[in-house]
Order: sequence, then structure tokens, then C-alpha cells
Amino acid sequence: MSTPLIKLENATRLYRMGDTEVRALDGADLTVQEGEMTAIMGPSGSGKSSMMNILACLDRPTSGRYLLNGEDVSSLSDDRLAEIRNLYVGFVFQSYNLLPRLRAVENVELPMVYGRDTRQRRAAALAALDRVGLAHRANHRPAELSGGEQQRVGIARALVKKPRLILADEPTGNLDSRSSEAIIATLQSLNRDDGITIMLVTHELDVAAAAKRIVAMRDGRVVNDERITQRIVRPVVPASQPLAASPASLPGLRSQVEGAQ
Amino acid sequence: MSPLMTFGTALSSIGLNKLRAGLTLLGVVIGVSSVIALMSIGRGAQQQVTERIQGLGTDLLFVRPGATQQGGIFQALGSAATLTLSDAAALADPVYTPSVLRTAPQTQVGLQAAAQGKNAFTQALGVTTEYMEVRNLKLKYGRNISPADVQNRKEFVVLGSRISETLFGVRDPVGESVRLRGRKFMVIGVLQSRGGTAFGNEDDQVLVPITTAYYRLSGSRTSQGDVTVQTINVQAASGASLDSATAEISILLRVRHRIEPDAADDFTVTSQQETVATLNETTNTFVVFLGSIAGISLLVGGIGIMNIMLVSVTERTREIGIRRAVGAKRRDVLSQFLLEATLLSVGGGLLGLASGWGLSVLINGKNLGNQTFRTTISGDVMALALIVSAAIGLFFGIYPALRASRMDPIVALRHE
Repeated sequence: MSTPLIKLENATRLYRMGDTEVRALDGADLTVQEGEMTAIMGPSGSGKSSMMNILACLDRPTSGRYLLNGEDVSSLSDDRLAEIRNLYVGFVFQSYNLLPRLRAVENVELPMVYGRDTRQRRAAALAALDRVGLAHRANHRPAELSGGEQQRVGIARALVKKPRLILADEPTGNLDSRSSEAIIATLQSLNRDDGITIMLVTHELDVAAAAKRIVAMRDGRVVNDERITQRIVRPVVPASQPLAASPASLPGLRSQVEGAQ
Repeated sequence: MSPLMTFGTALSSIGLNKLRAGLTLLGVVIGVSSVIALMSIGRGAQQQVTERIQGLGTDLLFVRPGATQQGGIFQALGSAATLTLSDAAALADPVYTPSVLRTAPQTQVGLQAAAQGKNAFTQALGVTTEYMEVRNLKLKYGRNISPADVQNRKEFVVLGSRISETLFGVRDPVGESVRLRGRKFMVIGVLQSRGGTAFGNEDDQVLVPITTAYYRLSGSRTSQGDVTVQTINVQAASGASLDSATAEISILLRVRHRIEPDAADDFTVTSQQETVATLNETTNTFVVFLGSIAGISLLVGGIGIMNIMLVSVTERTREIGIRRAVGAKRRDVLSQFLLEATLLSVGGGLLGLASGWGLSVLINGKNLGNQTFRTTISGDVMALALIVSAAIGLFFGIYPALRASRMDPIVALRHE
């Protein structure tokens, strides 16, 4: 087997809050091959976000190793981590995190501003917006876009540098079901057609079901890791119905799918 | 991130809150413009004084008595009464001092001048006929003090233009009388105006025969009974013969004062240039003093920048997080905020430059009290003000920028 894109070995992450120590990650192991689409689930406080931050090179594990494409990034300098984020990782946030004063296309350009690619910036940004079906909204500011559109701008920003890995932390958490479906479809297409490895954190089972693999976390550890081989392909299950065939037995998972907000 | 991009980003961030940026700018504008205006006033005064003295001629020397010594302690220069009227006459003798063209001895006494119910405080200069020639003074009305007036201790007076105006208004006062120290002096002439400087106004002086000043207005005599003088103005034959004139004067005075070969002079000879240099030192202090007062307001402006940058960093915490998440390095964030602060301060500096300039031009020639302001805007002051304002932006911007660059991206992203 080739070098896995992501290999997390016995990673821990401690936060110190005054006198108390919080163990956000407690010996988490995870291996992800290039081209996978993985959903991470788990109750709040289970360490999902801490793991995503480490996978995104926004943070370093307190102990353990994180090999990104075979390179140990857990001990790299701050500048080098910034470079890796810029070159290899796209991040999609729950709250979109667009800069309100920049137009959509400028928001998408932002990662290129910090790289060496000063030429073709505008063209690449427009292409990325086109990829998520938002080329016609390129000159709108975030406030003029709907939530779903903002999140698609966020995805365009994540993919503009053609990263090998896109991490999405509850990308549909603030969206209604129809927008969620569009976002998930976009992510699926990026995975299927562009071969980008995608990891997403979600609370919603039907969102998780769109992935090929579901990783469950609890107390800072990976407690279940299931590959979905021939199961539900979206959008077979309407979002408003309970997911009967879902892995509801996974510890800590909500058994009900939340309806549209 | 390319410098141009950083620049654009910084500029658009400033444009985001125009009122706030404007107010911050205003602090620097006021600082810089007051530095420029005050230093222009200082420089103007300096130049005025220098020009006034140099206007007297570059061929002047001043002979003053040396310091008296009391119990081994030197008193102020000129405190000794060693120079006399006959010293002045001897110095004008071409046989001993061929490099000297003419000499004009002078004494000075402060007193009250009164005429027609009005009075004014004035300096009465006891002079001889040559004084006007040596000091380059011109008459407006009447005549100069004649040698006969000096000889006969005449109670005649030549008025400075301003004191003439104070006592007699704008009319020609020749033939009228003025009371000095209770004595009636007849006005024989009025001088043309020369304007004042920060260091006194020649138009406020009156000229009287030196003998009259000595015998009637003051009263100290040497043991020989000769008239003592405070200064002998010496006009050298040319600007080039100042050194030889100085040497000749020293030799002659040492002989006349019977000074032993190894004893010190009891007089000093200074040239016009030396006086200008000394005066420049004094006025430089004055200019720097004015500049530093204004500099304080520039400092306050800098603190304003720091304050606003700190607010801006806090407000834009999430933006910092986003930028860091997509690959901005610490130094990218640092330079962005530093550039913003510097743009604010340099922008304020440029505006301050313009308004300081305008203010200086506006003040120039205006009267305040009995002073006429003259301002000189010099390139070095403007360059200094700009450099200082840029430096202030950098200095006060560094702390907020460091704070921004040191933020943990995860914490910054979570910031509401």
C-alpha cells in the first residue's frame, strides 16, 4: 500500500485552563488514504475539532505524531505549517469565515495572496467559483449571498489552490437541508471527480452517509471506524426522515436526523 | 505576500472606518503641522537676527572691556571700565591701525523718555558722529549728531522711529524737546525704521552725543578723568582685513593700557561673524525648544495610532484567524498591521506638512504684540517631520502588530 495521506499516531492534545488540564485528544489513531471521503462523528467534547485542527496543520499534537503524506509535521515551524496549509490543505468552516468587505472572488483569491502564485490569481479564483456553481455571484459581497452560497464560496476558497486535502468542520451546520444537500453534493463531486481527499465533521447522519467511511470519536479517541461499501448514495434518504439503516449503534451518535432549521 | 498586495490590503482596511482613521490621522496632522509651524517661526527669527547683524556689514569688529576680577573671580565680560573715548580715537589713527577704517564708541543707559505728557522706556546710546555710518543707519528727518555736538556736550537727541511715533505721532518732531533724566533734550533728527528682532528693537533707541550721555545721563569716570565707553564699534577697511585689524587693535590697546607682556588683555575683540555664531547657538536652542514642544503633540498623535491599532487588532481577530488558516505567516500579519500604522502616520505626516506649510505662510509677516513674525520653511525641518512621523507609526504600530501576529489561529478563528 502506498504512503497514506494522513497518519495520526497516538496523538494527544492537552489544553491548560488555569489549574485544570483538558485532554482534548487522548491517543487518537487515524489513517486515511488519498482519495477517501471520511466523515467524523461524535458528541461535543469528543475531540473532533481538536483532531481537525491538527489535521489542518493549524495546531500541533502535544505528543504523538502526525504524518502528512509521510512527512512528520508535528514538529515543524510555524512558518512551515503556514506554507503547508497554504499549499496542501483547504479548510471549510461551519460559519463560512469569509471576509465581509471582500467580494466573493476576492475571498476565493485569499489563499493565493499568501502563496507564490501572483499571476492567474483572478482566473483561478473564477474557475473555483465556477466549479461550485457560483461564477455569476463573483462580484457580490458575503452579506449579499445566502448561507448556502457563502458556504460554496468557502469551498471555492478551499479548493482554489488545488489542495490534496479538504477539511470541513460541520460545513452544513448552519444550513437548511436543501443547501446542505448542495454542499454535500459539491464535496462528493470534488472527491469523486477531482480525487481530493475529504474529511468532514458532522452531527447529521445523512451528511455522514454521503462519505465512504465514518469515524466515530469519543473522549479524544477513535472508537469506531466503518467503511460504507454499498450503502446509501445520496440523496436516497430524504433529510426529514429518520435514518433507519444508519449506523445508529455507534456510541454517542444521535439517532435522529435533525430536520431543516 | 507581495508588498503591493500588503499595501492594498492595508489601505482598504484603513478605508473601512474612515471617521476613525480620520481622527487618528488628525492627531498626527496636528503634531506635524505644529512642529513645522513652530520651527518655521524659530528659524524665521533666527534668520532675521542673522540678517540684521550681517546687514550691518561683514567688516565690523567690536571692542569691549575685559572682565573685572574680584577676589580671583571673573565678572561678566564688559564689566570693567577700561575703554575710553581716547582709545576709540587712537584706534582710528591710520598710523597705528592701517586696517581700521573708522571707529564708533558707544555707551548705553536705560531711561525714561518723556514728551508732551507721554513717556516711554528707552535705551539712550551715547555715540559719536561715526556711529550712524558704522551701523549703517539712515535719517528720516533732521540731522546726525555732529562732532561739535560731542565736543560741546550738547543736549541733542536723535530718535528711533518707533519712539518718535510713541512720543510725537507721525509728524516730524525736529525742534521739539524730550526729557531724559529730567533734562530737556532737543530733537535734531529721527532715524529710519529698521524693524525689530526677537532680541530687541533698534527703533526703540535714541542717540545722544557720547559726552552728554557720560556727563549728564550716567556718571562713572576713569582715574584719568577720561570718558569711558562700553563698546567701540570698529569698521575694518574691508572684510578681508578683519584679522590684521584685530591684531593691530590688540597691540595698540595693550600698549595704551600698559599691559605687561605676560598679562592677559583687559579687553576683547569680537567680529561680526563671531557674534552671529554665538547668537545662532542661542537661537538654535530656541528653535529646538519650540520643536520639542511641538514634538510632544506628535508623540500624543503616535499614542493615538497605537490605541486605534490595538482596537483594530481586537476587532479583526477573526480576520487574522482566517488569513492564518489559509496560509498567512506571522510576518504577513505583522507587516500588514505595521504598514497600516505607518500609512496612518505618514498620511498624517503629509497632511501635517501641507497644513504646517500653510500655517507658516499665513503667519509670515503678521504682527503679534510688537513682534513681526517671520517664518522660514526649510527642507530639513519638513524632511525631519516626515521621517519622525513615519518612525512614530512604526514605533507605536509594532506592539499592536506583534499582538496580531502572535495570535493562535485557532483561538482567533473562534473569536466572536
